[in-house]
Amino acid sequence: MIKIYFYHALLVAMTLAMGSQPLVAQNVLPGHLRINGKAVWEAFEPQREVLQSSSAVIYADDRSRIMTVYGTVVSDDGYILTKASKIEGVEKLTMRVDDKLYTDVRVVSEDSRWDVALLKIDVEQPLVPVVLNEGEEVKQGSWVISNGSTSRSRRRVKVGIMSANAREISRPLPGVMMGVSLEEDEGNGLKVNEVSADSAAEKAGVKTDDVIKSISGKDVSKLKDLLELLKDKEPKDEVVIKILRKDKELDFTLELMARPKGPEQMSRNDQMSGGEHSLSERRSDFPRVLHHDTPLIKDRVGGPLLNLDGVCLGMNIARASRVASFAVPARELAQIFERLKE
Amino acid sequence: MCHSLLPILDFKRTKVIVRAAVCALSVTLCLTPNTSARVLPFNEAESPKSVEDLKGIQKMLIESSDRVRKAAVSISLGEGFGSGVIISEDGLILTAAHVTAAVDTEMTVIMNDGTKLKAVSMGLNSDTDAAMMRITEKGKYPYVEVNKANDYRLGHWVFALGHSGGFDKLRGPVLRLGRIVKDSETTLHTDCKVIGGDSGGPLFDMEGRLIAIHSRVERSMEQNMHVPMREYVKHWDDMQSNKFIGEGPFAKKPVKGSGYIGIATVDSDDGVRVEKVGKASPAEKAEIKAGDIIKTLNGRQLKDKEGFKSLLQEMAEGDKVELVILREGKELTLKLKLAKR
Repeated sequence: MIKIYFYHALLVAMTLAMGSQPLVAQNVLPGHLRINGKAVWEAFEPQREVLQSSSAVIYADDRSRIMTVYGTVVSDDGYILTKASKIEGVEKLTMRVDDKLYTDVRVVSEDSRWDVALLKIDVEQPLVPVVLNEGEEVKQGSWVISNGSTSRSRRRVKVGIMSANAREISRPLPGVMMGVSLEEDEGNGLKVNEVSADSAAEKAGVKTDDVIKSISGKDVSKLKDLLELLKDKEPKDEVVIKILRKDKELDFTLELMARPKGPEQMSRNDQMSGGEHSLSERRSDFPRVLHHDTPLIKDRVGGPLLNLDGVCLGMNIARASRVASFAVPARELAQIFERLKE
Repeated sequence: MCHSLLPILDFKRTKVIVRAAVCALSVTLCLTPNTSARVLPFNEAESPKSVEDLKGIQKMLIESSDRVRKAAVSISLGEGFGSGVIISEDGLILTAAHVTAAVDTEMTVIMNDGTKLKAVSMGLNSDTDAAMMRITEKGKYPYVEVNKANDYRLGHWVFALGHSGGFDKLRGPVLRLGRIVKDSETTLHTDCKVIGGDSGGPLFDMEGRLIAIHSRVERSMEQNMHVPMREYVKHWDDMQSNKFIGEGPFAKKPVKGSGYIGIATVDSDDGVRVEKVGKASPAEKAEIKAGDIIKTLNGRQLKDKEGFKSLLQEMAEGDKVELVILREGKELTLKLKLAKR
């Protein structure tokens, strides 16, 4: 009985409370209450403290005032990982971890495939490295916490959720195409599944079920090989393709056609993302990334990506679009660190 | 404001209710809530205060998004992509008017596993950017519950799904979390970031009930606009019967007399005789031949050339035409679609 009564009381209290809150009366949700508003950030204080001790602010100017990129502290003796292309060509780097400034920063080595660089500082007091996630990767919908803005003494958060499947991000498609849909035919070549009407391939005489063995004399067994070969070609360039059709090898000369740009072409989406200048210059061609929806500013990558327990799920590597940021997963990050340290 | 603290319905029961609800919707424009909203602590609070609060949001987001993900489909438009969401087991889909662009047009729906399905656009509201379509292949499809109760408020947590930038099998549909930041008459605003390709995709409340469809954005990350379910409910019957509602700007109304068939006719004793067929015209594609006698157009008897012309004048580009033709003593039925004049 008491329980039921309490239930009702709670309900009435809540309803009244709602009525008296400005939230309902207002027409627009105030900025501080939005997903990346100050009031929401306050709930992420434990994760902010991890960023305070285990992320690095990296400067490329001699006065250590203008932040270039963040870094992720991966060992207590002074190893820090960051985004390689952001520090390329910089003569002298300085760095702040927590509130301590380090003016002697060495670039140990780089992994261009992942766009990750390993930095080293000499430390008197041991640093607090991130705890890299060794368990299963977190589910879509899980909160993720990244470095937001920073002052000299204080790191701040920016938050989002895990948004899509972890995956490889390939290089952008070449500007030309043949007009076929292909499938890798193990050890054989590339099998033609479909030939588009009025396409370059159709005009050249390519048919469904043909197997493409080589293009311009170079063997193609993987789709990647094909993209690599077409990468620098222009529309109307001619290529000779060798085809296997019912045990016969045939040569076709094919005039490449321009890849059509649909209404959702990249440039329009880049525009919606605030234009080219708000996206990372290097935002594709990664072997595997985590995909989250945190609206990172492109220079604020390089720091750790944390879950609610403060565990490091990866290192932010790129702002990819209005809706996507990428991170190098913790598992690969550990391997990269081991490799670069040697 | 009536909240009842009902436990969340299990999936089986939800299914039955949705099916009933969809039927009810198509018959009457019934606005009675089908299921009452649960009181969610994180929606009652101004903002989360602790890791526990955040975990509450996270738990529900993971569960709800897992349940509805399969119903968030990509729509292939030939040139480019939109998104949509399935709301009935037999494949009724809600999307945006600027995705379908016209009524009664064939389109392709791509499921998350890459399966391509034939679909056709139904009615649309060009004023508000609401549209309906359906999968024309028979099957049982994953679908979501529509929240017809409009029981959400400013500040409530919501999530978006959609095929941002087009279909990507490895990536899957993209999930985003945000809050309702503004609720104006025909538009719901959130800070769930959406982008090209998401158009027509679903916005859900935290229980995974559909509350709106993605429509457009402003440059600012904070301005993401969605068409609320009440706009769909309002015009449900019209959309089901393939009506083109409104004057734009989200779809262009077909103009009467803009259709092109591609034949020259003369009056003859038997009726309207085809004299010439234009090259690459809809008539040629439908294999109409010189000498054919046209008896009826969409069931209407034709007396003379003028009558044929005036019937066509009432039609527009993209309209479907069914002709009954007399050729060498035999009656044939030919179908075509008017091209742009």
